Amino acid sequence: MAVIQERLPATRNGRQLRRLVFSALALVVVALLGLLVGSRGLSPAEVLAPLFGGTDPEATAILFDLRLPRTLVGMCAGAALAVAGALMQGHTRNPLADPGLLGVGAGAALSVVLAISLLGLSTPIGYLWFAFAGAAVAAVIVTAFGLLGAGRRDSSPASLVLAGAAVTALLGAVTGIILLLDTSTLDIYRFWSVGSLSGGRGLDVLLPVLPFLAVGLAIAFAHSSTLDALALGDDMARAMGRRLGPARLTGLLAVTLLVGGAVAISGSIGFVGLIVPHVVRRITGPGHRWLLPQCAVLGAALVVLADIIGRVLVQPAELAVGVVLGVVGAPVFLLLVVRMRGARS
Amino acid sequence: MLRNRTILVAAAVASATLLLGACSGDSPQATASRSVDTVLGAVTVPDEIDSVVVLEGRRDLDIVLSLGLPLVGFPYEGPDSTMQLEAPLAAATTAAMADGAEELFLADEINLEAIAEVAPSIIVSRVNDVEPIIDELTAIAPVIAVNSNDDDTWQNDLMTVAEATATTERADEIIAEYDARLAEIASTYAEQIATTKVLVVSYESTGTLVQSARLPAIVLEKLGAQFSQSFAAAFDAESQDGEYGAEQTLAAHGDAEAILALADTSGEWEAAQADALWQQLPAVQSGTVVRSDKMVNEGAQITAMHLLDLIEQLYQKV
Repeated sequence: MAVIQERLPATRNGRQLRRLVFSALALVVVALLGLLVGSRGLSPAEVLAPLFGGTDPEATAILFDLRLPRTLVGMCAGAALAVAGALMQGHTRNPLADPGLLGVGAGAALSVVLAISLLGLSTPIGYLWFAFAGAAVAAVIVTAFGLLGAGRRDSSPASLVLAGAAVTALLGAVTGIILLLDTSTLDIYRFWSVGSLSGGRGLDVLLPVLPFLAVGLAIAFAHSSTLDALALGDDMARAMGRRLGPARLTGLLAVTLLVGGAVAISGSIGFVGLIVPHVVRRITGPGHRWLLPQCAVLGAALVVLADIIGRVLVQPAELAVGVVLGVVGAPVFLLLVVRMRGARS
Repeated sequence: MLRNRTILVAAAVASATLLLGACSGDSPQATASRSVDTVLGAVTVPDEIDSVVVLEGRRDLDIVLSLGLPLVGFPYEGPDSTMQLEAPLAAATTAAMADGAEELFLADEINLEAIAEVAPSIIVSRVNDVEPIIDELTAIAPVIAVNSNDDDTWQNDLMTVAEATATTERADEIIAEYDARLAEIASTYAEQIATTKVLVVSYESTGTLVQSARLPAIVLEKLGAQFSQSFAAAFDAESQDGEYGAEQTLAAHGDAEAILALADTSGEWEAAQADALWQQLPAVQSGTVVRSDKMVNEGAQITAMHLLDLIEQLYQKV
């Protein structure tokens, strides 16, 4: 009996690990498709030739300047947003929580609009740090108000979410006013706001943000046992020796780094932070130890896959990944919700 | 939003109009007027045009400025427009502002109260802009609507406004000036025009856009220019445009021998310089590229003359 009990967690871990490896393999396949598929119809041999010494300048430019960077940017943004979504849902104990609830996206948007309007910036590399700084400032403001609202050092999820909603509304209103008064800024901003992996989002945009994303992911993964404790309720978490205030601040820091980084490199991509944790929970169960890495892998795969669809759906033009995730992701999510309900009843 | 504001402002405008009418010593009958035909029906306009307001700021503004009408109000793009190049209408607009013309409201945000305040003799604008608020505008001043569909040439619209403002002589003069310049370029660069495949393409952050219903395409077509494959395809397309993803740049536009590239911001133009596929275009490699921006896409005589200058620069490089 004792032997069976010892083997059960090991078996469970082994199963989870196999699932993670399977997801990772799926991500590799999607990433490969990201290199092979595009609006320009080149054969796989033509596309991959530059990797093996091929010198065709068009294929080289398409592979190294367009498809490889956007695949990497998509993977990083998708992983970051999905993990941030899981963190938000874990901290708020609300399955509808989204990284946007903290006002991080709204802060980045306002900062980018100010950068365009006041400084005349018009490229992703130009407003990279503005997006990041705006996200960070918004998170600090929401945290401060969340703490004040809770009236004690360990802010409750409700006060954080309410503070986030209020700050999001305020920042959104200011952004709206600026865009109403400055149509030329609106022209540029709409390309950023739709969420895209193309349009100047190369490795020069990704590399400076990569350390922030890596730190955010590391904090998130190290935070998984705390999230499991928080899922049992605040009182139980305290009883288990967790300090709620520092725990929530750590979670907020991770969410800020992840969402700020993702928004900075890809603009405002919706749905990933909401949809991926839901799907992944069906695979891994609620425990965050396996949920978070699975979210990272499948979030990365989802965004790259959506980008591939956007490249071929309206050839020879392309659809931004944010549009594809909205148009295709929403009905798929609804279908998923209906099927989940059906499975339960 | 516009509708709600319109109702509120219409009430204010109607009150103001009644008040002004009551205070004024001149009765409406005392002002000499005549009737002119527009796409929205017959409109009675005063014989003496003292002041004109335009609502869109592109073709309407170009027409009013080129006819030398007393412009008093026009829309503006924003507090800090990100357009890098000087607009074709910049010099004429600056001169009009020196004569008292004012920026009345943001482009696409028509402010009826501001228009009523300057009490124009007539209002000129694109039919799409005036039709939804025609009653409110008519309460302020007679409305001359132009550009009712894509097939209307700027010359037709110019003549409509000229007839309404008794400036047909001036209109004939500037149309003749344009025709002469067109003929001069056609003659001077006849060989280049006959043998060079040209392309007008907008370079955007996410790809390129080719449009055949815009002024550059219309002017080039009049000139008898040869079009690149993607440009010709846009003429054949029902949508009259062709949108290409970033990967398509070389494949779509590789046959173009001369390019009029439209890039609005410095960032977009810098991105084009860093874009390996753009740089591989034969026209770019041979330096047969002239840059402009979207402000040349719509307009009338002033913009068309500016375009002819750009086209001449382009053929000079061939």
